Amino acid sequence: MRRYVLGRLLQLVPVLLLVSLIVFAVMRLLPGDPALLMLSGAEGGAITPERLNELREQMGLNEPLAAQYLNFVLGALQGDLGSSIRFQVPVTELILDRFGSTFELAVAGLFLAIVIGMPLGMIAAARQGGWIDSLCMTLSYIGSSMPVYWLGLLLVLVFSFTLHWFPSAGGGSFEALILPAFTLGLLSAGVLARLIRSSMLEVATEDYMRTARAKGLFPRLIIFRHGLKNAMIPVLTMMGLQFGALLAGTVVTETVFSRPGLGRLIVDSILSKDYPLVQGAILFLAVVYLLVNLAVDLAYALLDPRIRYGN
Amino acid sequence: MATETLDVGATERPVRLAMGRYFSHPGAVIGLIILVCWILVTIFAPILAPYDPNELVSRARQAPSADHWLGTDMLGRDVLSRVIYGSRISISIGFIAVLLGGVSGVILGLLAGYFAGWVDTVISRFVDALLAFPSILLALVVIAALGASIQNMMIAVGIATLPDYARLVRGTVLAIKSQPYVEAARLVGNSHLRILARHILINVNAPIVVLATLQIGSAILIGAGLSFLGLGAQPPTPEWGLMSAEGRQMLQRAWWISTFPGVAILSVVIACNLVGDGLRSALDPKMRMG
Amino acid sequence: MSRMKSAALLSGVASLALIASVGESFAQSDLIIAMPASNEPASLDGHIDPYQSTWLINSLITDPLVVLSPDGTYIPGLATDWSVSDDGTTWTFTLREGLTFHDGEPFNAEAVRANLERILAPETASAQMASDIGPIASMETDGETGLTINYDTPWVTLLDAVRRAPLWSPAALATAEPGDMAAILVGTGPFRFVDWVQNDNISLERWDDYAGVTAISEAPGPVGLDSVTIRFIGESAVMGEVLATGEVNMVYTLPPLFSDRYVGDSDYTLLSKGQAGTGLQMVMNTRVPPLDDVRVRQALILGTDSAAANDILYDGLYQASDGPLNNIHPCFWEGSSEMYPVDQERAAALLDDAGWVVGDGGMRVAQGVEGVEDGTPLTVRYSTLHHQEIGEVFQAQLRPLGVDLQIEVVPGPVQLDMVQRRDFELMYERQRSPSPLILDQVWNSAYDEPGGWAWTGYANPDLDAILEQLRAVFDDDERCGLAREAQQIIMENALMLPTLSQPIIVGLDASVQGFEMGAEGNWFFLQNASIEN
Repeated sequence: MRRYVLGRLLQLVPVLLLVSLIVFAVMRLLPGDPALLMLSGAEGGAITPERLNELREQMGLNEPLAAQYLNFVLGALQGDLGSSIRFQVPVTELILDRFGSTFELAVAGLFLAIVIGMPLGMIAAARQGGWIDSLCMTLSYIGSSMPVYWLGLLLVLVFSFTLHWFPSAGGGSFEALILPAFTLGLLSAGVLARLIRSSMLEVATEDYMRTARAKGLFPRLIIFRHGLKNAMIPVLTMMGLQFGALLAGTVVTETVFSRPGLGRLIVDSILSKDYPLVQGAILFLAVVYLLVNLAVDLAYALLDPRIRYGN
Repeated sequence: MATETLDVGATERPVRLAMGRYFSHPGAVIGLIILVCWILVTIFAPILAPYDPNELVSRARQAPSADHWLGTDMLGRDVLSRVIYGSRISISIGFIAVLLGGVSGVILGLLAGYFAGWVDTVISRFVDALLAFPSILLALVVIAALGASIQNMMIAVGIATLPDYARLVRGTVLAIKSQPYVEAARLVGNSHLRILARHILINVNAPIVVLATLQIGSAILIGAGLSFLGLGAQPPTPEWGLMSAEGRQMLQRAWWISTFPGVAILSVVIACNLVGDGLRSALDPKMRMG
Repeated sequence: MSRMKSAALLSGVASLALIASVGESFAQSDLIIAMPASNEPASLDGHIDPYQSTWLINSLITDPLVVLSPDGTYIPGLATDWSVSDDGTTWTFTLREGLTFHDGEPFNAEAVRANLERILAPETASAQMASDIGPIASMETDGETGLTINYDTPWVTLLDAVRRAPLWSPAALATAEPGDMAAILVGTGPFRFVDWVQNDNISLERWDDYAGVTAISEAPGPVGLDSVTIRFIGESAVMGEVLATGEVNMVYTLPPLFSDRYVGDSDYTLLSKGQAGTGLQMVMNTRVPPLDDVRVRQALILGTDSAAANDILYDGLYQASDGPLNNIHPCFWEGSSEMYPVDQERAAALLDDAGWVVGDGGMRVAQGVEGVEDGTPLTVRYSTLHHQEIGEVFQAQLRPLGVDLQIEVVPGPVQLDMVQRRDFELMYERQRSPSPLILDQVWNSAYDEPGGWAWTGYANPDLDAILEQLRAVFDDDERCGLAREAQQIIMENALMLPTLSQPIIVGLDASVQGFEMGAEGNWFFLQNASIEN
């Protein structure tokens, strides 16, 4: 197992390097001079060629591209992602400040997705073909086909503006987490419900299930007892992917609910061309996403020893 | 099963079987009907729309009425006409983005799977790196670089969907290329291009079609999300995401402005998902839809 | 065992309830303000930042030398007395004695001098305050209460600058890292800076040693509020509702369409004030086609109907702004309103005349326009920070005329970058001040330079000469006379497309007492405010 973990970690290194290269390359492709943006953006005032050159020197923009990339990677390894143009604070500081709120939202969303999606999928599988199945699947399709922002707006309209149950904006409190978490969670719940249903039905056709049925066990009981356990593996993988989708979903959700999270920070920084911040925040999220998927893979290997050796 | 594709007589029956399986799912049929309706709407938009989508035809923020079935928007434009014309934009975003991502992803996947070796290593690592970004983030990176517009949004969403195809196609090609008939074709002296086109591509098209159908739905969702954030279509384009974004200021007083474009997206995306799932179970009998 | 557990649980619940009730009694004097996210400043240092919202937030943390009172007169702030020499070159201020900054540093003439020097220092890169303070030739202080400021040329508008210029503790400025707002924002005002969570809120707490001696305070001593939290809200639908949902006590800049939600409800008070200034204007880049031709520029003004836009978008609650200064500005030139009535026919004739003829599909294309290839469609790009809906109405109004108005929404830094590169056609620009000096800033071609605010590329020595005099003339009527002459030239040349002026609507719930709006909508006073339930 230890060798497997080490192997997986090593595989991560080239991917991370490529990810950083993509982020770096995209930011260098941008039109406009980051130093000029920095001067006109945050400080205003007189922009002289001398000040511009001084700043370019200071930001390392006069060095060859390869050296700039190296500096970027070395800096990133030490947790230095440069300074935000707009806020004039280290990017790392801003990211860490916001990540808590985003992580909280993504976890709450995942929790709701499981709590809602699993029973929905299980009930549908148990009642396969009946009207309950159709109802569950209709709900699941609606859930996973709604635009995130639209669902968020509807929830605000009903639960905040009309019923006054939950606040419509802001972060920091449990009440403020509920609507955004539902917005995110319902979407993943739909995907999850369908996955669980089809995994359980697939398992139901396998040999040992037939044996169990031949032994006279009640069909629904079989599905629950055996099907669920075996359906867990694909579901677990899917949850890793869904967690990434949830992290990404926070981009829109945080904007709708004015939550001070990483997603909203990225959107704002793209709109205001705060490139160091865009670069750092996206790199950070990509790394988090990779690590979550790694953790899922490891959990997967623990559950199913065949994976380790098969690889 | 793979060898059968060369024999025309033998393919007819699987196709009919697959169609039979497809049309036995009510969900898949409903999805197809919705999708066909929307495609007709995009084609006949000028005939169907009662008003010019960009003209201020009436008082602003009027509730749905006989004159304006879905009400009027912030400026007094007819919401129904804008939803109808918006289908052209939102649906083509989905199709074009998927086409862009699909074609480039399929090519990358074919090359990686077929040639193996360093070509595979380079392409696979690149695809792994793209997969490290959740799709909307990847689209955001591209938008950040190219600027906000509909064209750039299509490119961005296309790139965001590319890795899924590459991975799918590569895996399938790896499985197919060791089949005896591919070996045989190579021994007979067929060019790589011919082998790829005649023997391999033809055998991976089913999963690609399924994936593409499902992706159209998610591409429309990502596109609408980007427009909502101000990173996609710009006013006065009647794009559904942008329309919802513009109307949200008036959510309480004029719910219809944001709500109907959202319903439109919901119906198209559901239709794509239903059709995709239907195709999957029709083309791959092991996966039953129920 | 289980009984013990439940007993512990019970006492836990009881103590929680206790904490909650104690918390409530303390929470009574916390003012929570909702502000639009677009008002969130880039930095919070008013020495550097050119935004009204920065100065507003600064004014809660530090008192200025003079205060522009709600009735529009200058009253003593940290200065008790001031005067200017007859030639307008020498200003003398007498400061209050015995005051300190939040960090205990003494407030005196040396501290004021240190602040003014920091504003003017090139490395501070002040975006606007330095040019408002002007080219100070020298300063003299007696170290305590006497301060004299000398200019080489008359500088009659200093009070308008010092009413906004924040004064920070010199000791704090000397040691603070750039960007460390908690270290820099050490003032003399009623509240201390606590924290700024970007994209979310700014929190301030009462300074218990506040003297409360400026003329705006009704009673000496610390203020009645325990804390002030300013929450930035991105969604205007949410801005319209947060007061009703009880999430905040006060909404600063309520979207006009939401006002009828609160009007007539005795639980809420709505206050509205205009903002004298340029209004929400679109300035024209006269360097490149199609706006290099005055006929095209005039056609745009004739072809748009801002009153209609006001009705459509804001239930008519915005205010008219027909010229380079808006209609509520003390120096507004009334000729602006008559010069370009809505007249599609005249607009069409002007465009035909300029070589932009109606092509296929009703949109105009170039035919013999200098510097433009024949057949080029007539598009005008409008770049704006906000209020894009006005652009959308204009877009719809100009389309029948065959003009394609394209709208792009850009954030502040991008706007400045575009202006820097002269890469724009119609650009949103708004200055807010009851002083006519803003005309000089926006229209004097001397400020057509990097970092300057004169963007149009129009240069006219007559106009520049009139504008320059604004800084030297004392008499208000005479200055307004000059300002009107300047407005006439600007309108004749159609250098800007006037739209509307945005009033500031403030919504308060019944618990807020003693809130005072400034003379203009863009600032307010909390010195006498409290929360009472």
